[in-house]
Amino acid sequence: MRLFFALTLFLVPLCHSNAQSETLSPKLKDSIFNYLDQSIGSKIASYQGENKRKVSEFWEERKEKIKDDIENNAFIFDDALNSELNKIISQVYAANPEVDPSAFYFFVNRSPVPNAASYGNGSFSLNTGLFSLAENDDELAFIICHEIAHYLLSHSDTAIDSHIESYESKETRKKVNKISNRDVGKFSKAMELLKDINYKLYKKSRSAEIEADSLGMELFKKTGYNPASATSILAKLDFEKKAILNKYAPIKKHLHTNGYPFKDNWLKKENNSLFDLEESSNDYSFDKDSTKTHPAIPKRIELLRTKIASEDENSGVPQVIHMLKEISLAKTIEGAIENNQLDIALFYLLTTHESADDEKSRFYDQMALVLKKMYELKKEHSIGKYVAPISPFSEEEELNKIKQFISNLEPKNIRKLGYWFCQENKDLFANADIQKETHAYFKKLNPNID
Amino acid sequence: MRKLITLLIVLCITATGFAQSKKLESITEFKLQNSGAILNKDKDVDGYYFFYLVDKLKKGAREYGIQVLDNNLNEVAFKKYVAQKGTILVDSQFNNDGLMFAFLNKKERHIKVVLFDRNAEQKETSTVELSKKEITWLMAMNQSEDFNILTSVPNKGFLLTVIKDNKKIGYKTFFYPTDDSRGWRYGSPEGSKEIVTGAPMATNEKFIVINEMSKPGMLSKKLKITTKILNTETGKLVTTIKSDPKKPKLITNGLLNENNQLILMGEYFKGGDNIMKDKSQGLFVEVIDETGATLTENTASWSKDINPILKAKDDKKNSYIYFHDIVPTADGSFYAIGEKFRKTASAAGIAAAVLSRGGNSVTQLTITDALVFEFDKDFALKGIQTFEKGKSRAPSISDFGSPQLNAHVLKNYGAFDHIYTQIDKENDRFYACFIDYERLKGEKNKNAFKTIIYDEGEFSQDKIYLEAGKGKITRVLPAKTGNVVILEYDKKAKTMDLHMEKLNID
Repeated sequence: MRLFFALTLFLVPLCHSNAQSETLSPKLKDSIFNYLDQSIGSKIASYQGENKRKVSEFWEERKEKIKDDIENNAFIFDDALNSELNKIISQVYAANPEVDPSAFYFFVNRSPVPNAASYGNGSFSLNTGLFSLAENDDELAFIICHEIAHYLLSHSDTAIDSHIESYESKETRKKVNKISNRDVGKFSKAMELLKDINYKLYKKSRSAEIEADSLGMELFKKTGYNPASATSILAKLDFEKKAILNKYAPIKKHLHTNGYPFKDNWLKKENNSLFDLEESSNDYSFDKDSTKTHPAIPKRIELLRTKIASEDENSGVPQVIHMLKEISLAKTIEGAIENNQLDIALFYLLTTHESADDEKSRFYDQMALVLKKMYELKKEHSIGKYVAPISPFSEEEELNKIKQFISNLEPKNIRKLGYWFCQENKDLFANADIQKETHAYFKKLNPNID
Repeated sequence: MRKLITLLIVLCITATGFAQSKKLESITEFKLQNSGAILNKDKDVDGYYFFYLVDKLKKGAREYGIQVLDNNLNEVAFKKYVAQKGTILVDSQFNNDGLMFAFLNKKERHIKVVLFDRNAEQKETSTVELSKKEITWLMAMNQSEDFNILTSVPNKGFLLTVIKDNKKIGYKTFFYPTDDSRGWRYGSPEGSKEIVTGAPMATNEKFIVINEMSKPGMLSKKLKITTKILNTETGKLVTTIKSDPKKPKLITNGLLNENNQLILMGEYFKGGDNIMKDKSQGLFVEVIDETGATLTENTASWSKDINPILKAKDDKKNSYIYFHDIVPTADGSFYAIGEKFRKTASAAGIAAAVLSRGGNSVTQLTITDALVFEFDKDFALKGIQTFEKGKSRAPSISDFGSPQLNAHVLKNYGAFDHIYTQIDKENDRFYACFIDYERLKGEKNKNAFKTIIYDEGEFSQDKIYLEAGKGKITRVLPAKTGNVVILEYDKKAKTMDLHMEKLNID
């Protein structure tokens, strides 16, 4: 989770003006699927080059992937969220009338990883992690401009062409056949060829990022947002040396009950290292620097600074980022509980809940639901499908602490903890139905507790 | 514990969807040769290895790849290893200082040990030449749970044990240090008139305990068991504990405690009895100091101590118990984990015996419930807990010998339902894992992975069904103590899902 920021070359969407409901209704789903069929259909129809079949296959595959993501609840469809986000997007459109946004669609991806993408057909995605990271609308607006620039510069089309040409060129075919006919050393020769092809493709990808920064900056400068925000958001996205999910998570504070006091050994770390390494020692890995899709952030900042007149302008544009943060946080937690990603749900619940002892809060509803799911998944031996194990190379110590806590708890601990959490906080639940249901559930599991 | 996954897996370096790249993908496929769990001396899983064939090189050489996962299933290393064609990875062990692999090449007739240090860098390689006969014996011995080619000595080094064709069959153990000490070797005397096999039974930084079995010839029933304690640093023999003919014993478990005392456990026999032929008298636990002197010895006899309690619970005649493990707990008690079995006639065995003019075994073992015996610190039997389990059958290898010895031989070849026992010293728990074939009323019979868990002085059970539905395969693989890895394979979609799950205490 360290270095996931990738303004993915292939991806870019805007929430557009589509009215969206709280959950994805069949009608809205049909409308989005139709949009994808049409926009990707026109991409295929407009292709004039020699690789029509392969380009079609590529786009069809991409379309199915986006549809699968929609089916799998990867995106948030929420009216309030879209309405706030559209305020920023509309500002970008209004300032850049030469850009035709009629085929644009922005998805919001419920991922904590700060990332955005341009898919190449006019659809884009923004991860909720970006909303958590951005300090103001200005920073988010630059990301949007950068993604639109990828679309305007046809980077997806260029990248698809480059991939096909690299792998399907006569020269490559000849080299592959020569390797296939070798008696010995096939693998090392094939690896050399793969490295050569991939390093060149990644180099092109890095150049495309510089181009998108540059054009994105031109679009951004017209919006009235603070131009210096372009460099401040890039600086925040430099995850080379920092972890993303590492905010202090006060587990004990929020899960201690008088009836079942918190046990410190629930947080006990296990020692499981075979090696003393900072990353996997892989003799077959590609060179890390040569396979970066993006240039180093300091270099991008340096280039963008030449286009900024002043570092401390105040945009004066009304801000919606706080609403985006609030709504996307709630949706991220809901989605994580629904998708059984209990470590992510707990992380956000624990890091964002400000304890006010006498105030009703959804925190209690959601925490009770997390404990109930944790018990159920443990009992059916399937929690490991959803909560990834701790990686020895992860620097996200707070998230790892939560993973360790989930791993250390026995079902006997969870059922008692669940009972006492519901019992002692029964007046603080925001939703009376959830309170009733979870309390009854844990009561049934603890027949001997009065 | 050794065989992890038998499904064919290939890894590809490329990940693009373009047609031409498929050809490159097929060239860069890693073909899985075998895989297994990386164990430490307590049979706890420290990680997993996947051994792949990567490339054909000049002069019969091959490039192999060893993928190492930690005990949370994270890939921590993928190392290149060049060796001759036909190399197989036969064992792996971790000792806190490093990871050692043993590679056997039957054609080249040698076994090589390769050490990877804490930085995953390949260090020393050592080769031991073996004859064809020695390799055949070694592979046969390696099937047994009592024998490991590699044994780790925590924070000190590794032991490689091979079979040596002296005048008769013998053994040799090589010590490869991972600290500043020097390597050494120890084995059965060259030119010995007896067949002598030996295997390290317990190790720590101070001592190595080898359990030696010897007999004059292959068909002889005069089996001698000798326990040898060696100095870990030097390999010098510290003491030899010979089986007393007045009190013959079959040692099935041995461990070194924190005070460097050796605890031997097993079954004892009447004075003059032959452990190959006669029925044992009961169970024993003996504590021995580093000079070989017995500090305490306690026994529990079948007739006086065990059967009266057992019969009150079970009226089946001719039932025996085979003990897989004896686990000491923090309060000084011992828990013996066993399975009940009977010797019954086998229709298939009788038919085979007729066809081979009596050369085959006509009996089989019928294995039923799991039992846990609780003994106090003086080895007085305090109670027996029975855990119901469906019947399973295993053909007897021979009809010679006592039922217990026959069962011991069969146990080493996986005939019993018990798979392994893991001990969690830190939490004073143990997990005894079995495969159970459940016969359910009104439902299809199901295979289940059943675990008996001892925690806070109480027993509970956890169960994972191994029937995943049509076209799906579910397997439970060993994992770090208190956990299992569940493998789910969808035959149709050809997808495999591996996830780590904790065994439940509820």
